[in-house]
Amino acid sequence: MQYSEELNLIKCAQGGDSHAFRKLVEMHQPFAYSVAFRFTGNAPEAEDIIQEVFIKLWKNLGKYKQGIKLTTWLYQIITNQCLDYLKSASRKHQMKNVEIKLGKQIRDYTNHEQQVDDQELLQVVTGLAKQLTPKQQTVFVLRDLEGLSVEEVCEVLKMSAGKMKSNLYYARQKIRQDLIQYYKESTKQEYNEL
Amino acid sequence: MFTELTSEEYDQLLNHINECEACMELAESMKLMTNIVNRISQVEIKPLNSAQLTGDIMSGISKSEFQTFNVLNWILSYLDLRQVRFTMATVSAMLIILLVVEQSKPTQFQSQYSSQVTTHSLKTTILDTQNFQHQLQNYKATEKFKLLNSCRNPFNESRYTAACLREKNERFKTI
Repeated sequence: MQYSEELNLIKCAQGGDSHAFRKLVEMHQPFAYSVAFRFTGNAPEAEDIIQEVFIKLWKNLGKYKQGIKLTTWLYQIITNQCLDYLKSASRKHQMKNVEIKLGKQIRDYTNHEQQVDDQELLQVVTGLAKQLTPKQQTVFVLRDLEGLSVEEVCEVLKMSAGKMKSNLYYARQKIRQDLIQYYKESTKQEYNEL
Repeated sequence: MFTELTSEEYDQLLNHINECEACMELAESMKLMTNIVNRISQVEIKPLNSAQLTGDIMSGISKSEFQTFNVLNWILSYLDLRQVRFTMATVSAMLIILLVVEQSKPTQFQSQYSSQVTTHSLKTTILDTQNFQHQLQNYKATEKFKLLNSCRNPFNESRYTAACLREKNERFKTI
């Protein structure tokens, strides 16, 4: 869809046209869901976040300024929503459970000598990313998993390039160390079973 | 890998890696991690039922709109606040007190006549006809009625205001 077409839909939606907004939802829902899932690693939670995100978008659509990409604005809303979600006290409690489950999942794979495919690897890295600080996790998800440019990440997070690179460096280091640890444990398990 | 670095920084890094074994090892493991991350960034993530999710989003929006315009819900949500409840109770009590005070005040009619009574009692004399019987001699009944009617005391029809009588007829000047 062209930018002008999207702009028309936004203008109609600003006037209260829910059909136009539905089209915008259909257009942007896949990438929005993908970002939320990379943060949470959990489908129902990602869906809850996405619902909140689009409700916020609908309520604040009047503030939309021409010239700004809707995706950039959506990235801002999604990351803020995900960060709020990660910060919430109840979430912290749930995260512990997720980590325990993930640990069990990893052990199960190694026990059954299953090859960790991309989907499973995604679960593992998402689980490891949850142990990062919220800023590090956000930078890692947007830059490395979503493939946004440095400038785009800085624009979405309203962060300086230096700060962003520093967060990204620590995030990658932590993920790398955890992955090495994970592979070591997997190999050890496999070796012991031989 | 290391795409955030400028070309100059990247060249410096490569020169250093070629000379430092520890950094070479680190770079290798970073390369491994980058490959893994690249792999998983290609994984397509989709909701289980995209159409249903869109439907849920749209119904969530209409629900939120309904909530926005539901004045009753809005008022009830405010009533849940303790401070608001306390304020409303105080305002109600003040209104009741104000109502009671207003009720105890005389009406406009009452206050008008009560002021007249006060005026009369202070400045004028209220007379019975007995007090000026001799001035009324030689008057016929209809003439008496005409003369006295306009000077009747509003609170007692058998009594008359002396000042009014004095104005009406010279005969009453002496009363």
